[in-house]
Amino acid sequence: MKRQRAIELDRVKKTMLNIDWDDALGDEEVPELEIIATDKIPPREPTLSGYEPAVSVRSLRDNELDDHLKRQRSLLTRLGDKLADKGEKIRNRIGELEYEKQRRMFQQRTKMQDADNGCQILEKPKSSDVFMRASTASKDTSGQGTSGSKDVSRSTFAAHFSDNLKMGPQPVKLVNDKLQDLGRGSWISKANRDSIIEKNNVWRSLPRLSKCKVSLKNFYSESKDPKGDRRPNEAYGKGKPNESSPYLLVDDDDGDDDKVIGYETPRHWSLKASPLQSSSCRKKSDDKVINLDEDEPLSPMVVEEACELPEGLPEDIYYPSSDQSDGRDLVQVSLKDLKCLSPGEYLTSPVINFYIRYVQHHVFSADKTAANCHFFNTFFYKKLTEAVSYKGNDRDAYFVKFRRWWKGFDLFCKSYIFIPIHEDLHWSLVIICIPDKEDESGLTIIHLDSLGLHPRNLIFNNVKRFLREEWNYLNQDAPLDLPISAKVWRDLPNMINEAEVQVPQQKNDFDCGLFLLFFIRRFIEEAPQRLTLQDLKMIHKKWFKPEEASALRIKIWNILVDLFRKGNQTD
Amino acid sequence: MSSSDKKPLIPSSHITVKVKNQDDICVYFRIKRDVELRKMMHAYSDKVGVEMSTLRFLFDGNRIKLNQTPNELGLEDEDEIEAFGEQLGGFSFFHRH
Repeated sequence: MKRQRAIELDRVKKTMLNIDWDDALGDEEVPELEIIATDKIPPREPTLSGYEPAVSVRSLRDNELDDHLKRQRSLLTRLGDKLADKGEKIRNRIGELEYEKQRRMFQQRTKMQDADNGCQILEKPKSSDVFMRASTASKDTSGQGTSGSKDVSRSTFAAHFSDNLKMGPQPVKLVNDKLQDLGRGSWISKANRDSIIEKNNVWRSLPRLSKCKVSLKNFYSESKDPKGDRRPNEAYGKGKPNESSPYLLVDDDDGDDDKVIGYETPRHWSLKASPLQSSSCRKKSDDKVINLDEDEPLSPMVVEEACELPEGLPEDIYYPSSDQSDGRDLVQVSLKDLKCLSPGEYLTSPVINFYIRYVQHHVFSADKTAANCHFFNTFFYKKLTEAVSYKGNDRDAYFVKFRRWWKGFDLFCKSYIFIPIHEDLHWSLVIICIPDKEDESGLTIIHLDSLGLHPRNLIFNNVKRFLREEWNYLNQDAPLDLPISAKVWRDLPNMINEAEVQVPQQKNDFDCGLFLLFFIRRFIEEAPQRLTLQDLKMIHKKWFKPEEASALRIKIWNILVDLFRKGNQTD
Repeated sequence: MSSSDKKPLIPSSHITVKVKNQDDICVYFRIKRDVELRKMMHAYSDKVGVEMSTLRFLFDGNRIKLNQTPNELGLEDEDEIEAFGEQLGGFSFFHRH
């Protein structure tokens, strides 16, 4: 009896529970939305070499300390409220930086009491060029802030005086009123420089020192202070020899702004990791002008004016509008996103994605080359790295799911595939070039990086693995109409070339997003419908002027302001 | 009711959707097929404690608009939506290799 009952119970358990929801719920309403569960999967290892952003405050140079402080403050105002900890970490960091700044100022004062704070003679260079750029990278400056080390300036300008210049005993002093206008206000003492720049048109970028032609007369003006009074030699340090022998002069950053010698060296010159720009400064035959670079002088660029942001604009716009697109490549840009187009700001993904679509739909809408391109958005590369490094048993299923990112496209039928890369607060670009049917040289991957910062080998590796996975997937069906040469297709995993190309480099630390966009634009303008290995010669270090890429900032701003004005929103 | 008319445990008017962020934190939602996804986006941003304007929700690599519904997007049960944070890129001297 008991046994029979147990069997019956077992049978009851196994039957499917059929619920007629309409009957069961009656008038009760099922909630439109409810959270079922939240889980936490342990994060994967970072795909590119991640490193600790927090830097030892002591190891920062003076100008880096100020720069870091400024950046942290702007981060706090911009993102403070949005962060989970309400900006607590950033506030702590600012505290550390401010404490370090105070400590250094105190240390500076005590030093000033002990020693004269003029310019120091560091070394006597061997060469007899008119000028020599100081390679601060070769000096060990890591000991700043420690008791045993002398403070060597980061704002070094190496002025190398040769015997044939017949100069008096005074070192070179740059005088504000005698310098030609170099684009954004004259050169002034460090203290006043920032305020002048802000007053002027903030959109105009300052030409690089090494590109400017400056007359000898202005360079070798008599040493006067900014007020115009002649200054005694002693102000520049005691015991300096009176003959005009070549010396490397260094401003020792002692806070005495009147004693500025030469220019402030752009920060990227003094970085150990970045190679110095090769520049030979040579005297012109007319003996009146010094060209400070081997490059030809800059032709004046027509700088577009940034238009005003009117009131009453919509909160956000969608691009392209519904009549231009099927909605698949839709980009949303908010008014807040326009902030990143202010001078000196880092570009954000909404603006990058917008301009990629704009180039595709507007600039090159009728262009045959552009029509045969595929543009991925800025989020794609992260998914790509996840897909190629996925270790699960359902690897094939995972890749099939990932393929939905380019649903309806045969990637190997395209001429070019553009993949923006965002890693470690930096933007770069990968272009995959698919050859013609007649070309048997294979596919080519190009990586364009305006700072040479992203690890090229790792990126090439990831993109290759992605192409192999896609080839594997398509090869299962063995397509009849091969998009590329049969020979290449058969051995595609082994026929992917890595192109080592040099590209123009940015001259600041905030324009990499603009360079990425300019690379896309310039490439489409110049590339043939199908690229051969010989065509790679078009990409080189002087492919375009860095200023052209930087000028995109205003162009994009104006395009977006115009779209916001039109309220170009999809329904 | 015949066996072919069996209804799933979740009403047919609803689907379960997984929203995953870059740190692989997943939040599972049960949502009506004809409800605007803005509700889900708001609920997600509240849950993870991030302002919604800084998130980008993508399905199959395409941006989801606030007023789209699961039906319009072609979302099916157990589909995955990705929530990406805003990417910011310049180059900081304190992030050098």
